[in-house]
Amino acid sequence: MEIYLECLREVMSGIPTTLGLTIWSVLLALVLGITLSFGVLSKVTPIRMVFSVLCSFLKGIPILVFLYAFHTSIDVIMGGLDQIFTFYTYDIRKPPTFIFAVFALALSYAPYMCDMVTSALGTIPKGQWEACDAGGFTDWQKMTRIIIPQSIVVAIPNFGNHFVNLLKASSLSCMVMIMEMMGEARNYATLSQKFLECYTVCALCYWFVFVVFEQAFRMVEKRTGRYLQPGAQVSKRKKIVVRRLDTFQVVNKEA
Amino acid sequence: MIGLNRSLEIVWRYLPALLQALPTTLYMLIISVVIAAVLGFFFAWAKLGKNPILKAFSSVFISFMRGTPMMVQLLLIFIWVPVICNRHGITTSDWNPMIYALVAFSLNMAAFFAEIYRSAYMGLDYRQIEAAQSLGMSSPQIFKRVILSQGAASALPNFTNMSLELMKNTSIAAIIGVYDILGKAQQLVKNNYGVGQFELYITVGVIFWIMGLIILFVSNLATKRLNRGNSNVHSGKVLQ
Repeated sequence: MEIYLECLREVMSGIPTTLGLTIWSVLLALVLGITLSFGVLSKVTPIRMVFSVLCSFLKGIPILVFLYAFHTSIDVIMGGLDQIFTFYTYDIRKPPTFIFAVFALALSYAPYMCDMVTSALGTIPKGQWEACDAGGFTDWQKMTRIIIPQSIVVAIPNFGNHFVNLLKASSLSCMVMIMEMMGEARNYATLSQKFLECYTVCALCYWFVFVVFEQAFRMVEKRTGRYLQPGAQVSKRKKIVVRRLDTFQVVNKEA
Repeated sequence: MIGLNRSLEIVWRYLPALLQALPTTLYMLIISVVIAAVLGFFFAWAKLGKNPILKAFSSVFISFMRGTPMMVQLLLIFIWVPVICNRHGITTSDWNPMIYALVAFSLNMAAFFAEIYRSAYMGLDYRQIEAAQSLGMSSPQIFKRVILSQGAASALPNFTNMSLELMKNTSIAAIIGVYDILGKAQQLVKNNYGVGQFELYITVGVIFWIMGLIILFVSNLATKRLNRGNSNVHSGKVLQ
């Protein structure tokens, strides 16, 4: 029993790193994904093609490849930029491990975020875009007042999925010597030679964090999706929305 | 230009060694997807059914498999299975580590596939099943003619996406000693003291990308064919 508690303490000490890794990379992936979605939705055909290929390429590469490539040859990649930043005393060729792990995770999740944005925009009926134009809205007003508030509601379940997936994927960064939950568990397991107990505790911890975030996102989803289900029509209305999402989603949430 | 030539030379020299490891990836992918596709039916059936024990079991199982990282599951199975087997007098010392990887991947995928099947089933129009029942079809007939023929079309894109995720995740099996393309690349890098590591990793990425594109292409063709009778689905939207 003592070994479990000891191990639990070790694994818990990795939680801040895991959460930091997840949250920073989710934010970075969101920014990158929105940038990519501009390219994918562009009206200029060559730009659209280039960005689509880029999306598919990033989607096809395992996260471990990004992590290993950055881990082993970050100095080669950043060496080219080194000349530009000569005025800066910081050695750009050796960034902290944490930062490039964030970049690796974000790069591999950016295309998923891009898909999320484009599919959310695709669910807004075309009539609403046209109505905004007819009503004399500027582009900025159209997006901020009509399109974005509605598409955020559609995107939140997807975003929750990607968030928890990234939480799980962040465990891979223990392969490049980042001490998050998995790394702490492995470290303690080799130290104490109690592999079975350590990994069981680690799995339970991950499960707990996952369930917490899943429930949190479900609550947010309910709160934001309020207007979709007025009064008596709750179940009917909800079903339609969920089914429409199904065609786009990678992994489905419960209806 | 000299740097580029050298890089290409390294890629050309080590490509055969990398491709040698390709069957490992494909073998793991295909076997575990097939096992998981069958197991997933069971879990989806259990979760949709009325038996409370099976329902609770499959809910907990699915939640656990979705909630823990693949790496932890691999390590757990790599440690738990020998412990249980040895307790029952089965020696596991001469087993190929591939077996543990297959068990872990297929259990993990089974949970995701169960969710996909379940959402495909819920997406069906329930009145069609009622209509089939009123026509006097038996349940296997209903399953084959109404549920499977429509559900397959809506489940296939998600199914392919999850299989692609698995394809990318097979490289994690390197931690229990099953070396696929990425594991092979790492061995080469370590043998060469890090010469040409960046080029090798990029090559691995491109190989994974091409495999994924081929799988996606085949799946898109299949989806188009499965949707051919369905006037409601605009095929372009599903295939996106």
